Amino acid sequence: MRPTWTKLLALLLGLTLVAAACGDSDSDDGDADTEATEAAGDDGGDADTGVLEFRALDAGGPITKEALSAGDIDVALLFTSDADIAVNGWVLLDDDQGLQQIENLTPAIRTEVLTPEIETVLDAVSAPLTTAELTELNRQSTQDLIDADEIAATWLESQGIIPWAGDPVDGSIRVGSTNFFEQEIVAELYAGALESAGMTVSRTFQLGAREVVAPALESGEIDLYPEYLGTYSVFAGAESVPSDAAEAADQLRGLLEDRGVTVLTPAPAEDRNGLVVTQETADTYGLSATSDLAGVTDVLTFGGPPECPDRDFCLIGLTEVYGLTFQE
Amino acid sequence: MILAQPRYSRDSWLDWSWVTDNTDDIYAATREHLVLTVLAVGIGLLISIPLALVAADRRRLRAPLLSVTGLLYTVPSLALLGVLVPYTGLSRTTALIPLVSYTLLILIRNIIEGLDSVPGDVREAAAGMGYTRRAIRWRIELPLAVPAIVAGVRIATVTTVGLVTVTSLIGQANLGQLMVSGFQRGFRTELMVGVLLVVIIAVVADLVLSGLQRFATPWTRRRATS
Amino acid sequence: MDASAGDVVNVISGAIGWLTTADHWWGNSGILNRTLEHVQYSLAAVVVAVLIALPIAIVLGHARRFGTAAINVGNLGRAVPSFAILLVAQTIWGLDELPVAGPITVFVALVALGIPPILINAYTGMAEVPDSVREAAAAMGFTPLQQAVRAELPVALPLILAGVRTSTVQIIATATLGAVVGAGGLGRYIIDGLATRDFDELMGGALLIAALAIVVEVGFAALERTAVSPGLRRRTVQVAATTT
Repeated sequence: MRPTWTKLLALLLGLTLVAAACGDSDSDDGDADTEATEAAGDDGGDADTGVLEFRALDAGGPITKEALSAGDIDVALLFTSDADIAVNGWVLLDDDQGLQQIENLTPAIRTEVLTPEIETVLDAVSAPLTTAELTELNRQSTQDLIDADEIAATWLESQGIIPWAGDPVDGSIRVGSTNFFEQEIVAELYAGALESAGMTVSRTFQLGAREVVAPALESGEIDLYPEYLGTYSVFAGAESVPSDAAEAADQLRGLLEDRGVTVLTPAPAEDRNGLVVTQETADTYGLSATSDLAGVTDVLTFGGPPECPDRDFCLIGLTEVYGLTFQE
Repeated sequence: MILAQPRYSRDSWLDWSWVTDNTDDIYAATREHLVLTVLAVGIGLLISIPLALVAADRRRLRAPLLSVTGLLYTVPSLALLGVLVPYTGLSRTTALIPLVSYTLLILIRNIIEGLDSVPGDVREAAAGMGYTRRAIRWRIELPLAVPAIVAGVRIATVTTVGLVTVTSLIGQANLGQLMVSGFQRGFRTELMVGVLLVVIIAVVADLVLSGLQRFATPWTRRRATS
Repeated sequence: MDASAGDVVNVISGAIGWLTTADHWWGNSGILNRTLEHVQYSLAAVVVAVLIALPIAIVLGHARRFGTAAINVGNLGRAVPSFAILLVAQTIWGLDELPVAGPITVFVALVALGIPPILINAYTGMAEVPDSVREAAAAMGFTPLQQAVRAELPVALPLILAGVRTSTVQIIATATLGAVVGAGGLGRYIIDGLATRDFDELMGGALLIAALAIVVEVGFAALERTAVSPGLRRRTVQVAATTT
């Protein structure tokens, strides 16, 4: 019954694949597994030091953190506002060459929906939100196991943002977030504040990655969500990101103009990518800054997101700016 | 505020106080999950029955039909979702496309088998009694195929309940979201509640449908083979 | 954004372009190595699933006891989505690995997935062996063990093979999940493709997995034809599959 068709199909696929293997090679761009053999920076360092083995895990998520705890990896790419770093006694290596761009939490909103009143509310939320505050909010989520909406409500109250004492705001708005607990907390901050000001807020949280949520904003499926200044700028096409938040925000607004989206005033709070090691690893190799990795003779294992080899803040940047070498 | 210790247990796999504190959210996630499952299987049936009826008569069409649906089956749902999102957005529609596709293979295969399983002598007897082809199809074959069809719906439902969890990755607020959120935060109870509820729903659905199967076919004493 | 036929063609031709780039075939992340990893994870899981489910099913099926229990356990097994098992297992075992089989997390999820079809089909196959065959075997002086293995097993073979086949195909399709927890296998192309928005890689990976599954199906069809005695070939009831 079935065999004839399936056999033909299988044969066809098999032939195609065999033909492919024997075919001409294409000069390909950005092949994920090409060894980054350039060790830029002629400081006379050995090719034998600063070599790391890359393992694709998740983007600063539970799998990477578990791997670091268990010793499956030596260096992990995590997020700097993650409370788990301090809780576990890990060491965040200093980004001494300034590879990482600024990543202030910034509301991304559809221009159509934006009104001065909404802006006032959101600015009120952003202003007191520092990195320390954000890290503490994250801690409540992952350590105390409190839900995002409660964490948000408590913080808004303690800051005197709610109950909202300014001009009331009408209308309705749809708030989104990616599937990252920090995003959910900050989105709840926006939502809670706008609700207190009188708006009808609907929430669509846990939407995959930026690649899912940013288009959703542009196509109008959601109206507002929290973004990270640097990464969003690069996503929107920026060649480089100024290190001053206000300048970066202006540049970003320009880039987003024809997408019907804009960003508001960035909060002081940042969440950058950071390289993290255990205290033991730091002690063994004398690590306190990322540059120190270049002098390590052992091959360390580095765990990061699958897209790391293609990213400036990740493999590419670490190779060019810090002179590290990666192998599979 | 700084708590002296976590509000809920980090080591326990099921901290009931979290459950009682969050019944609303759990209920909403469960309802979403059920809606998506019922929609997927329902639409799957609507598409499969006509397709199967057509293929049952035309042997030539069967092989390609089963191959194509079989191929759809092996494409991991995550990949399918990833490809669809830029086109169909973050809607229930996007979630339903892979869910429905995956039910198609199960349902079409089972319906065709059901129709095939009608013994030849029964058909001959009916023809002899003057039944037209159409009458045979609708009044004899289909009723006798019901056990196989219900068996197919059973399997499709159980499978779909599991698959729905993956749609949480595109923002569908179902039990999968509890699982993923719990996993992300290292919160075992949240993860466990999601998993347990998915299993319970699948098992209950299976039991209900197998009861339905027995009810609808009093003439079969045979134990269902699938 | 609306899809069009042109977009579909683009996606497929992009995938084929990716597949036909020789660079993508060699090296640690190459198609050949990833396929090998994928086959390793799948094979290890199938073997263990068979080792666990088959003896139990044969014994119970021969004795025609606890059938309902066996079938219910099988159904229960199908009710637990692999994705869920993966997340739970990851919480327990992290990234610990087994030789050949890959990460324990993935291995556990795949074995759990593979057991139900084998259990259900093998039990049903054994239990439904006609009484005439059993009686003849007994009359010929076979011990119960000989009856089960030499007389009943061959008759049950079509269903058993169908079960193993379903199990294997499911496992191959689901071994994709390994990439979610950082393991290798063809799922890497899907996860990495999703992460880097490289749809050519993503579709290429999906097509490879589908191809692998088809090859296995065809292989099993051939196996069934040769291994099963001609008089028995009619029965190939398929217990349908579950993938994530």
